[in-house]
Amino acid sequence: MSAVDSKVIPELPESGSLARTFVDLAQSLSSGQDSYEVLSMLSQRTVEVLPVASSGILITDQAGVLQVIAASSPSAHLLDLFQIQNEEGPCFECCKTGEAISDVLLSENGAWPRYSALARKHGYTATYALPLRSKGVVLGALNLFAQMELSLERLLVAQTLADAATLSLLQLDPVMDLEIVARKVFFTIEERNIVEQAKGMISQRFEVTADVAFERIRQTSKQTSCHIIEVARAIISRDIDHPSFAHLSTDSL
Amino acid sequence: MFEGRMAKIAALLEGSMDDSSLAQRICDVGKVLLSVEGMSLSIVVHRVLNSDVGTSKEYMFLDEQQFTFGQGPTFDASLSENPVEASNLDSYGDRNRWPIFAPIASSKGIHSITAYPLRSGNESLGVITAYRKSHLELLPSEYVDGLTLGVVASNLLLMKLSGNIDPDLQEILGPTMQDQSIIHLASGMVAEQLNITIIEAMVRIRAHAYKTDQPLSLVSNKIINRELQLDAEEK
Repeated sequence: MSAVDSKVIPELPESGSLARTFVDLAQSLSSGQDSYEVLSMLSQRTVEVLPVASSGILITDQAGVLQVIAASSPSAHLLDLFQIQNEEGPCFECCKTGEAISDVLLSENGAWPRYSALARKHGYTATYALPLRSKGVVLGALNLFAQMELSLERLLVAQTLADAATLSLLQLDPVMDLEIVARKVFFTIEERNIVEQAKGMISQRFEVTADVAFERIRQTSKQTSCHIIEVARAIISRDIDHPSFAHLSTDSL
Repeated sequence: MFEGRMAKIAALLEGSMDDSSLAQRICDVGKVLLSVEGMSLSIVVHRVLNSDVGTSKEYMFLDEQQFTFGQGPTFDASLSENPVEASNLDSYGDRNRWPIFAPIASSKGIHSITAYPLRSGNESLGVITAYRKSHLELLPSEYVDGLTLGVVASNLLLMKLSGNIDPDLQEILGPTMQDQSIIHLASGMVAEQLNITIIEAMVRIRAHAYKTDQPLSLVSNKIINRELQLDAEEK
């Protein structure tokens, strides 16, 4: 073994998975994959490449109402929904102002006491919200729920992931065309709705929670090499010819 | 980016308050909002499209012509997830696509059309259609307003199917608010349990909310938490 081979290359522990994430993102963006698919992948990958416990993605729908599109865990989903319903919290603020917001105190005397109490109850000590923003227009936010503070470098990585989410909504179109973005946002939310309906059906079928049902749909999507949204459509239209059918008709995993 | 759109539509609907039905008012508001000559609403009844209302009889007639011949932007939109645009009904492209309907529309002075599908999941509830006498396409912001108006019209149709024949304005604007995802989750559960379609399940949930005078979000939550089960016979 030569001296060169044995040289240790210093690296960030997560740099390999970070590179992988961006390769996968580039692939899904260039193959024109559905935004729902891209955003849902992003929220999962965020917790793998950053030292955060959970993440969620919110976008503003065509009527101006915030919607949770993807969340990496049930508590992230809950905390995002709480902010939308109560119109308070760092992520809500971020979507409103377009500014990155961090709250590492989650104090009960802070700007959003009820949110802070709930986040703490779920074991989080910090929340970060990064805007999905392009040319001064805010489309939504990437939210991070953490049990430790993030360094500035890692926050920059997080903002880059948020920018990737923005790109998927702009369909890589540098000129922000309102009509294209509106279509994209509209169909992303439609897809989210279809996935929710499919989750409901699977959760009823196997008497499991919605989150377990979603995990089951994700597993099926992997095993059959079909997109999540395609599996969800097959579920709600009861398509017995779809390869996912067999995976989702018996109780065995 | 889309802030205030629903509020704008709500204000227009509020302002159009008179004796006409909400469906009629949605068409009237759409005409102003999209700066078009005519607006119509068609609904799917037993899997068949039917003209329901329009800003004038002329536009309902054009809807009906499309259903008779099985072609045209409105007809196509009922089978599509995307809005269907005919930007120039006198062009070769549009005539080729809708050979019978395009000349009929032109002869009535209509030269461009945008049809928005009203959907829930993978099922069609109906279509709202904007008819224009010019060749001009809608402005991007008008296009987005049309999508948003479509959400309001879908809510209205779901309410009506649920037995709430005469919902008030807040009710049809309401469900577009925060709790959308739980309504879809609950609908999936009910669809599986009763072996019915998603739209049938949505209608059942709304009917229950209406009959027991509870908010839709509360009923949805009860279903998700398995505190409430709708039974097969209940109608």
